[in-house]
Amino acid sequence: MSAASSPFPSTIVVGGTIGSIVVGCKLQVLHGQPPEYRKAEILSIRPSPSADDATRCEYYVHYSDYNKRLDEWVAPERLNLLGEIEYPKIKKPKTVLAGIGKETGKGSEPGTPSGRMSKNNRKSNLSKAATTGKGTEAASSSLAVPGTPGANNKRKASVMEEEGEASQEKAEDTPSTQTLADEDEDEDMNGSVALDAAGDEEGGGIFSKEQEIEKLRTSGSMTQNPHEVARVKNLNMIQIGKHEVETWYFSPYPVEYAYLPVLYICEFCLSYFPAVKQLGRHRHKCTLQHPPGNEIYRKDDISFFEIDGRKQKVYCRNLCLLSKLFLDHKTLYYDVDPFLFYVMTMRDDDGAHLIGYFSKEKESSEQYNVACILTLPQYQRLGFGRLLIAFSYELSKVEKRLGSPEKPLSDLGLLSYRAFWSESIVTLLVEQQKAGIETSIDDIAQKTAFQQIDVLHTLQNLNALKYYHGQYVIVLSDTVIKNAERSAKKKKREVDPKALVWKPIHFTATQLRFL
Amino acid sequence: MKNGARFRNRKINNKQPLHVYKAVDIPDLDESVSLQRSIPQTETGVDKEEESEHHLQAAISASNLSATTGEATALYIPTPDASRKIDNYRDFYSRPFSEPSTLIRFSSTVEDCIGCPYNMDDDDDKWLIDFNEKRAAGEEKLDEDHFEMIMWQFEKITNERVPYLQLDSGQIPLFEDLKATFTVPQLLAVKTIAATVYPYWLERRVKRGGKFITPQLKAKQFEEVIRNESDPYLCFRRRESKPIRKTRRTDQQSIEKLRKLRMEMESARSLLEMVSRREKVRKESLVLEHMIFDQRSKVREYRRNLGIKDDDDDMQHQKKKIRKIGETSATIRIPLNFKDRDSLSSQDDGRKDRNGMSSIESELAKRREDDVGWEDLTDNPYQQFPVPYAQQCFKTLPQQRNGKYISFRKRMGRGGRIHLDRQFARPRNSAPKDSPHGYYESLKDMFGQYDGINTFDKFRFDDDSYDQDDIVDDLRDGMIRYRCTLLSETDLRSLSTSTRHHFISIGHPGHSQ
Repeated sequence: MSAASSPFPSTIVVGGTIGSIVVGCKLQVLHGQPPEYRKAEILSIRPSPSADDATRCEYYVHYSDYNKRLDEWVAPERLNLLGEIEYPKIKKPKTVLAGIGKETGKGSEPGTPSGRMSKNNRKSNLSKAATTGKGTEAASSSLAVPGTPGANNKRKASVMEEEGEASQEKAEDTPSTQTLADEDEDEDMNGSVALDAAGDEEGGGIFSKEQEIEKLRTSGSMTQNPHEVARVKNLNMIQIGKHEVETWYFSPYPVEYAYLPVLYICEFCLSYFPAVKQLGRHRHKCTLQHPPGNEIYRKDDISFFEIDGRKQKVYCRNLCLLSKLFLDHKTLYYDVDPFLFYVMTMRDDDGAHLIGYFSKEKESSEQYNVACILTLPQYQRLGFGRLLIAFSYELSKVEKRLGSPEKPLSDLGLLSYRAFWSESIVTLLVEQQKAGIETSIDDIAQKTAFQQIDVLHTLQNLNALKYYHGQYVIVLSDTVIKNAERSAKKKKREVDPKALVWKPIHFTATQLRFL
Repeated sequence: MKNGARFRNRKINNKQPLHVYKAVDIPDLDESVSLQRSIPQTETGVDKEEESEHHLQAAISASNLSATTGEATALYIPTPDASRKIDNYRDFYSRPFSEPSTLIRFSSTVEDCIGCPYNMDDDDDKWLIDFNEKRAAGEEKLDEDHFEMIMWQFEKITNERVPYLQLDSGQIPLFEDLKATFTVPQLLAVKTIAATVYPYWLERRVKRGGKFITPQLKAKQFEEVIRNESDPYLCFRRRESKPIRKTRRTDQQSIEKLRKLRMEMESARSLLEMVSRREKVRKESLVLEHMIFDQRSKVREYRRNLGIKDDDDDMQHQKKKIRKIGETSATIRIPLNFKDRDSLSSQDDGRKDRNGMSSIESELAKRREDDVGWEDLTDNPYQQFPVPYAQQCFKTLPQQRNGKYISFRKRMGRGGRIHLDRQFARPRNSAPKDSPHGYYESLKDMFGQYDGINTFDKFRFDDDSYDQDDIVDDLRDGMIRYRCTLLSETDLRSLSTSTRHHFISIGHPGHSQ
């Protein structure tokens, strides 16, 4: 992501005007509390919704070395125009397209920067742009989207992204040209696939589209959608139950709802509505008060529901859309059929409220026991994540299998898992140490249902693997033991294996076939 | 890393037992050795690009710090705000929830639970209020529930009839078409009002370019039309069938083995079951026998006491039976002869034995077919005498032109002389008088020193083979002359002794070949 890794050197200029800022620029942006400048990249530009001045824009920025969830729309005042501005290298100045996304266009309908463009297509659009050249210029100047956003290749040098960018900047003068472009794309599908492969070679690409899709098809659920549009989150805020939650990432809710100030979500059936009126009407009719599945665990006010993606398609899709708002690497490329969803709820007088969930492949080829796992942001840092993880391993214990979460993990996921692993393992090791029993990594894995690699990983993080008198031993340092004691004293929710009433569902080959 | 080369970086064996120590228990632990022997770091599992992110690294180093120094610095990765709550929660969620005492079992889908899927928005609300205001005082007002019902009916039917409406918005169904579908009682009631709702619905639908008024996910619908792979809004594609895993040969073999094993186990089990059943029956019979014996001895006693001296007929009869039972219920006998096998087959293994019988039968039939044209002598009580060894050394030559059969043998004599002994076999049905060089003629020639043809004839049928002790003068002219005609060049070439035994078959010369 840094300039150093970019195959094309960038142009660095000190100082500039707001009008010169284009997508791809990197500059210092005021961020955080207390505010300080941090280097950030402009990912998108749109007219400011509240401003009277039509030329005033908002800038979607990604802070370098920060997680994408902190990306945000900022007012121009927060950009440091006096400092260094790193412009994207203009590789093909010819690809000057009318830089009007829908969001910058009429403003009536929020943006649908959809569709991808092959190189052929870009050419055709070029000619289109040329014919409507006058209008294009006018538009670009008035909207402060200069005509040099072309194909920079800062990030991964992949054709995918290049196309994505191109499509974002594609002209969408009228709905009719939009459909025209779509039709074009349909026609040259084959051609563009071939182009993908070629592009990979020339750009030293990291992955090919086919590989990507093949991976999606054959294995689990978490792969990043590298599309450019998806880099800009399309929702700002959701209202779910009594909570108002800022969203983190892009989620493919219907494109008509993109860039709404708030999306209203029914907290029981997870249906989504663009307006309060509709939510009210829906709530008037909706009878659901808990997730639509079988309760397999109940202890105090915490329950787990098991839901088959095949049987509860609408609910599971809604759940996935919701969780995609908070999971960067989740993909909704394929349907929910091959997954089981374990939904954790907390009960009160209104119903069983969704706190978090994890999904699990019905048949994991790589011994994953969790595909996606999420605690809703309003319930984070309360120990619920730990509960979800613990529950996933309880299921693995019943199945008599070792399990591991599907990779890649998110940063938060890694920390949660590490904390859980080390706590469980240290507790176990302290017991072993007291009893004076030798233990192998396999033993630990069998007792905890963690995979051996995760056990090893944890032992390394604890700095507990030592070489002593000619052999490897596990050494628990004082601080590790003290930390464990301290955390044991904390009052925490634990999973009670006795409260779990569950038998693993075995699916036949035919049940799994057309997934 | 300097010392890295001295030890191979290798993985820890997962099965190797590791001793667990407290750090205080082993003060002599040399950290540097551990460093030398360090195990390659496992991967975190976080995306490579994100691994270096500022907040993650900060959190990781904080947790490392707490592991080494005990500093309890809980560092969180900052996330966007989620702390705000709404005030009007009760406006939306007012239905009280009472949890059942048992675990909830629930299989209704979301569609079943949300009532009419059409939810009116602000535009609808405005229109509806307007509409109701305009209605005359006497006219029925349209409430929200019915409005939604009508709208949904329009939407549903339209989508069923013209699923690709957004491609050709000219196909929007007319109200007349839609009206026909208002068949459910609830809908029948609002049929007339629906006519006034239709223009409004039509307007909205056209405005949406023919799409659903309520935006839908870009999922299954229009999948065939939109094949744009990289559209980020396109989600929940149907997964093609998973590639069928080819069953490897090894799999098949092991399946075969397991199947066989199972079958064997099963048959062993059924055998044992039968044995146990038999033993039970036997035990029962012993008990009965015992009882009978008791009874009988009682009877005998009564008789003795009462002085009855009848024939013990019934008694003897019983005895016979008993003996029979005793015979059959002896130890397991493996049947040795056909009789036993037959009796066994009639009991439980009939099917298998019938198979055996039929195969024997077919074998016999086959043989009979082979033997057509041959006389079967095996049933003949007559048996040939065993042929003496010396006789067995004769070889038979192919039938001569004159219909004679000639046998010969080679013999080593004293001083290395080689003798060639001959024999003549006579075709069974040859009429001696028919041929000028008949067999009898030559025999008469050969055995001229005998008393006459009669003497020879007398022995002709008595002997199976010609006696070796017959004195034959080899050097008689006739004999020599005859000898010259015996063997052709090829015959001579094939002259050799062999250990094979040739039977001279006078009775049926056809078999000699």
